[in-house]
Amino acid sequence: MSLFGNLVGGPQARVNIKLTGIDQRMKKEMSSGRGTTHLLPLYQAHEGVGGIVEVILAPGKKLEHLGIKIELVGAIEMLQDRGSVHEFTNLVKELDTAGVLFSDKQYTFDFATVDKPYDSYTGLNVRLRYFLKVTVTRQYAPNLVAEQELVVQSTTQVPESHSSIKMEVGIEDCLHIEFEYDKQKYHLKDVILGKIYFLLVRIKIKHMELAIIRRESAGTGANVMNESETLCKFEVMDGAPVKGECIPLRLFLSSIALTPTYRSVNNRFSVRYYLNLVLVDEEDRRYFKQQEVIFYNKELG
Amino acid sequence: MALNIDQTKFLEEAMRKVKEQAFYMKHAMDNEDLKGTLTHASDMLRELRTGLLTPKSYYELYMKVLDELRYVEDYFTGLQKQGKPVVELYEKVQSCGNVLPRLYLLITVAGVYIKSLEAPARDILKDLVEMSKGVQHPMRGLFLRNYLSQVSRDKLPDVGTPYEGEEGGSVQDAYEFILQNFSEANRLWCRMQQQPTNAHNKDKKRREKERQELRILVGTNLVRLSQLQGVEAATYKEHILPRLLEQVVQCKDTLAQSYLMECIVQVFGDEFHIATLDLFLAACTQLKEKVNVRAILEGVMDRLATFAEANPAAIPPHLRTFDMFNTCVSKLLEERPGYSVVEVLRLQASLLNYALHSFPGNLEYLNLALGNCATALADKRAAHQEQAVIVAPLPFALDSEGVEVVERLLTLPLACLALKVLELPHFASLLEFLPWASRRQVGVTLLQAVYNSRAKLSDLESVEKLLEMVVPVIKEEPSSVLGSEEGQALRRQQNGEGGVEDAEEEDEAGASRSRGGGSTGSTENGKARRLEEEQLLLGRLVHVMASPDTDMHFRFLTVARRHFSEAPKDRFQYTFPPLVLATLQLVQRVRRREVAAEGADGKQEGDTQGGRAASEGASEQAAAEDGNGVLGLKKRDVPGVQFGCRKLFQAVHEMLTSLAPHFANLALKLFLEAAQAADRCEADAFKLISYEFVTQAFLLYEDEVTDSKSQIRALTAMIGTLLQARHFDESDYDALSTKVTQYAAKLLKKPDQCRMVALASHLFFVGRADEPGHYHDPKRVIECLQRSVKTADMCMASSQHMHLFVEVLNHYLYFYECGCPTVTEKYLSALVAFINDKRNEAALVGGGPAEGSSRAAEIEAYYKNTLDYIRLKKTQTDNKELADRFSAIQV
Repeated sequence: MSLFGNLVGGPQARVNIKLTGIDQRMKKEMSSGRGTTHLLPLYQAHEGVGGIVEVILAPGKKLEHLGIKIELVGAIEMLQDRGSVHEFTNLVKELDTAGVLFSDKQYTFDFATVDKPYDSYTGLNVRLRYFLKVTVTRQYAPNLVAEQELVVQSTTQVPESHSSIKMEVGIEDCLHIEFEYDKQKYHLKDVILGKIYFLLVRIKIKHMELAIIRRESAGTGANVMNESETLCKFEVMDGAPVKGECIPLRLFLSSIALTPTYRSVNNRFSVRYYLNLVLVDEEDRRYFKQQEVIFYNKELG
Repeated sequence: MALNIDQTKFLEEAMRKVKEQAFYMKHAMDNEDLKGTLTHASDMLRELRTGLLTPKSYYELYMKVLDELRYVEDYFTGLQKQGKPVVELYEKVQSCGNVLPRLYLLITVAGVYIKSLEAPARDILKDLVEMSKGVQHPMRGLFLRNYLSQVSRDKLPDVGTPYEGEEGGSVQDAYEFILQNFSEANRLWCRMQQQPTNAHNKDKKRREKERQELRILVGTNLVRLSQLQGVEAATYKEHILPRLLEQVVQCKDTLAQSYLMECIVQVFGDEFHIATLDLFLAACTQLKEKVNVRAILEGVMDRLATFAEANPAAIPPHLRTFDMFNTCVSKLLEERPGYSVVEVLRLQASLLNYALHSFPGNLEYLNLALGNCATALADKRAAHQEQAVIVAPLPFALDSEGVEVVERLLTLPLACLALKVLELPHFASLLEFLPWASRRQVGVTLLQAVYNSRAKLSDLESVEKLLEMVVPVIKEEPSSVLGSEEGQALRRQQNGEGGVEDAEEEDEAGASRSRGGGSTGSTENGKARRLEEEQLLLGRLVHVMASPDTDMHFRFLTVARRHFSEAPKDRFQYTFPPLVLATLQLVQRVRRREVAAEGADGKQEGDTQGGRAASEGASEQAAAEDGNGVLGLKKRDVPGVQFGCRKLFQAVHEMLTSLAPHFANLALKLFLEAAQAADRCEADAFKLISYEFVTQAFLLYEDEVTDSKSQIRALTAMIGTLLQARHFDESDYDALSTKVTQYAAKLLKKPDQCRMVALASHLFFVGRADEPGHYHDPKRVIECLQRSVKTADMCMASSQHMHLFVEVLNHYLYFYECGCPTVTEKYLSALVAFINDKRNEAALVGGGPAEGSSRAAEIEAYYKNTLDYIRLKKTQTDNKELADRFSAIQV
């Protein structure tokens, strides 16, 4: 009866992970890579992750197990190449040794000093994620598993140097401009302020725009995949300027879905950002100049 | 055409989209969906990014969008009132991907932001004006900046606004903001023209037109500046105008420079202009060559002149505005040798006009301006002649425009200067450059001005000068083709004035046309009338000359006569009478001086008070002495009097003699006037002169006066003159009065004869018996009267002879009353009875007064009144003797 019931009549037990202070914790929306997003609790790199694992039995049932453990996993997944998962962190804590549970039971856990060296990230080809995984191992029946994904973010110190980006570019006898972005490093809620000076204009410019490009390279060795993605196009100027004109630029980053710049995360992937200044002439020819900028997290969120 | 159709189509499509998006936008507002509102607002504003519309259509679209933006503003205001920090909105709208909609939204939020006082107005305005640079397309940019200007209009940190303050900013920030917006707008506007095109002239023209349509978008900024309460003249001078002028000069665009300078003149207050005239004028000389600087200068001058007239004390005299203008003009001319003569003249005309209005009476200024013109013209003429030697030997002539300007230039100061014009040496020299017809016009205006001013000409030089200036009014144009005097005369003889007149015909016609519908008749008629008007005007000149010194006065008249004599003879009729009459008037004054001088010398020359009979001998002696001269006069010097009465009479005689062959009636009348004047001199010496004048009149009557009406007028005048005269020798008087009576009797029409003979009867009963110089010849009196009655009876029309009878009866009564011995009650009673008979007769014939009963009634009343008079005299008691005599008359 019970065996039958075990097989057919719903789960014998449920396992829940309840994180400490979950209600107060900051949440962050993360895309799971298939177009859906989840609101996930946000942890900083050095923060401990603790909480309670609840094993809730179905009424009148008992649970025989070979042991209960909880893992904190940090993994880099190649999305195009399913199964290629590299766990750079995997910490296991035994919650219970093999036995039988006759009633609901709670286990506290605490990964106090776990190193979470990288930020969570969901890109086009690669995903870096952290999750807690509770496994109730059973002899015959499939294991009971519960997962709780976390978002990890680290904040960076405000960089000391605030040097701007200033550059003169041009095509000889055709177009000379000098552009200036006020910083090289922007935090994610920052504003890009800049100016574009027109030193020489011999082409009929229709408009000028600033694009933010994300370049993601994932994989190792021969399997590196590079992917570029334009996150926003921001028209900066309408019409043709004359020589000597100076066009102001102001772009609020907060409304754009950016991540910090990541360089060689676990030697598996990098995410870089570029500001691309594009001038379009009346014949729709595009003149552009890309310039890398660094984005960083100043505060969580 | 296709363009228009396309325009309509494009506009309709854009409008449709705007309406659609506005609808969604408002829907989102109702749902309190900020994000949706902004999205649809952006989509709506995106329609303004079009490049397909002409400025006109774009303006329509713009206005429509602005209407919708008002809802957005209200919505934002609502959010702000609910407690939403505006700064969030301010940031939020900036995420719009397109620059144009983003800026429109930004400006809209900014309006709410400033109003909320949540941030300093200064900072927000600065940000807006800077960010607006993102739109570099001229037309779209201009409209955007106009929107900015409109939204910020009532949100500037001007003095007295809630936006002013430590944080919010000062009026300085306000004007800095407007100045920047202005200069950016202007740059965009200028750029429209500079845009490179491979297109040709037509495109350029179209663009020019489009720019004209858009200029107000730039000018509005200047209006805003002028509306700032906190800007004082000093601030304007120090900080605002220099910036404006710099912008204007730097933009190097003809259209912009013209328009903006004009705007500056019109928009800012007079005090500002006065404070900054030097700056402004300096900028004027730096404008592009094609800019009409004159129009700009005239604008300023007009303003200052009007202002100065209204507030005479407002312009500090040390400012020397005229000098500033003059320097500016000189500099302009110096730097722009390409100016045409007409343009140079026009500039000077403006200057002159300014001097006239602002400094009335400052001849120095006027002369300066006129002198500049004369110099310019002289230079031009010199250049022309140099060229003419090689190219074409045509005389230097101004074109019609130039003529018009010079004419205006010379006419302008007349109204207020009048005779002072003579003190402007350059006036005359400039006059020479005008063609005859224009000079005449100026002359006429000059004369009118002189009369209006009531000024008097009192020195010979002025008289000469003035006459010289009005020579074209006096004379016809001398032929300029044949240079010499002889040639002119020759040509006149050949053409008989005709050639000259023909030449004048055309501009004459033009002149009369331009003078309005005055001439209804033919041009010939109009011309004649004009000539008459002008000549009468000229004649009046004589009365403007005045000098306390009679010699000098006579000299004036002589000069005038010399000039008038040069005119074609048909003009004498207008100009000579005033001369003659003025001379005769002068005679009285000279005579007084002579008498005074004679009295002082103690020499009693003749018996000036003596009667005709008493002085007979003396006058014979005088006549013997004065054996020479036209009038038989010899010059006799009276000490201190250079030109004696004789001299004057001689002049009159000469004038009348030259007038007589052409205008007999006029000359006759004037001869009689002269005779009276001579008679009034009351000296025997003048009896003969008087006699001579009367004789001349009689001769004219005999030879020239032929039509009945003129004869009657002449006779009446002659009789009047003789009656006035008191100093004729009896024999002379006898001869003259007899002659007149004969003339009267020889008239063609009976009624005329009757009346004139009756009138002549008075010649024989002059003065009372106890008066000196009386002349009584009662026999001749009754002869005349009897003759009149007879003649009257011969008249056929009863109504007419009735009147004549009554008239004669009155003459009878006069003489009866005067006591003429030959006129007795017998005659009177008989005449009354005779008239009564005639009346009854007429009544019997059948209500006689069939034709013109009013006339009959008139005669009846006349007769009745006469009879009443007789009856009255009969009852008069104060003169018993007369009453008795009248009682003898049977009525």
